[in-house]
Amino acid sequence: MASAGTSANVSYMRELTARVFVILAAALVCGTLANLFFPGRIVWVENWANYIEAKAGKEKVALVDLKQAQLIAGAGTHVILDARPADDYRRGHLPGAVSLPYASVEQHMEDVQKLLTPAQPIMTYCSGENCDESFLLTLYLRRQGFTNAVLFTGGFTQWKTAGCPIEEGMP
Amino acid sequence: MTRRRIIGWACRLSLCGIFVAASVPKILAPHDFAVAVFRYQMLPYPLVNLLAIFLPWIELVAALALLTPAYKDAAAFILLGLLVVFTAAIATDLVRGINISCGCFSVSAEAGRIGWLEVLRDLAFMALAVLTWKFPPRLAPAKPRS
Repeated sequence: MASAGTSANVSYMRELTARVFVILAAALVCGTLANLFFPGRIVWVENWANYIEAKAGKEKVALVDLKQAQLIAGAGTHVILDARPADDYRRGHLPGAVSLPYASVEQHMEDVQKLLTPAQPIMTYCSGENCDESFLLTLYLRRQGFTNAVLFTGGFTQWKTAGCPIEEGMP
Repeated sequence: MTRRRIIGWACRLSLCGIFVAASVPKILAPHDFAVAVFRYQMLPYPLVNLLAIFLPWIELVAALALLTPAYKDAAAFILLGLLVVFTAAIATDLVRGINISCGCFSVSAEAGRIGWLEVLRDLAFMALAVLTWKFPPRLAPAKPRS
């Protein structure tokens, strides 16, 4: 009896696996056909590293690279805003940067606003090329009247990888 | 119809409706969905668009397959697997403090942000998938060999 039960289970699992593959194959065919013929089709593989650059270009947000970011951080002319979550900021951030997590921007804006005037140069950054919090923060600041902001696209990852100095903890 | 069958069909129809509703907006706006996937900051870039192209179709085909007795179990199994992945992805980004829209039922970046409520919701959907899988009709067991 136990053997018959085991055999039935093995058979059931085999059937289940086969049918899972049938469904996945059908979805693969549908997805392929849809992306070949659907008007809203997208490229199969996209370089998302350029996504923020493309969006920033469209919104006319000025971008800075690592070298420019180093000059800005050294000169002390800009208020540097870290758009990452506060925990990430605490673990390490650009020297002199102020935490303004985009996730709770309205909550923190009141404090940060005291540091800013409409003409104040600002540099925003987040974790790196695969985040858009700094881009969204830049747009938010613009809506609040702070239009003199640039975005460091390489973000904290590029900064740290290049061996640039970092600070830890809250100010 | 027995009570078990009624529960089984109620689960199947609910799960089917949920996943059809989730897949259609993604199929109609694949690039917007790709952006939603990108914003999770989890996948290597070459996989973002591939996931955005195929995932909604897996959801839709599996949702419709729930309505056929022969494929009901396999479809519930796939949807359960997807829900485990979705829940893990949302929970991970919540822990990382990444504030993004879910991309679950709407691909708009302005849609509601992810929260622990979405994790609870997905856990409830998982329970639905398990019930769908467990309740009859199930695949007929193989006939014993003579």
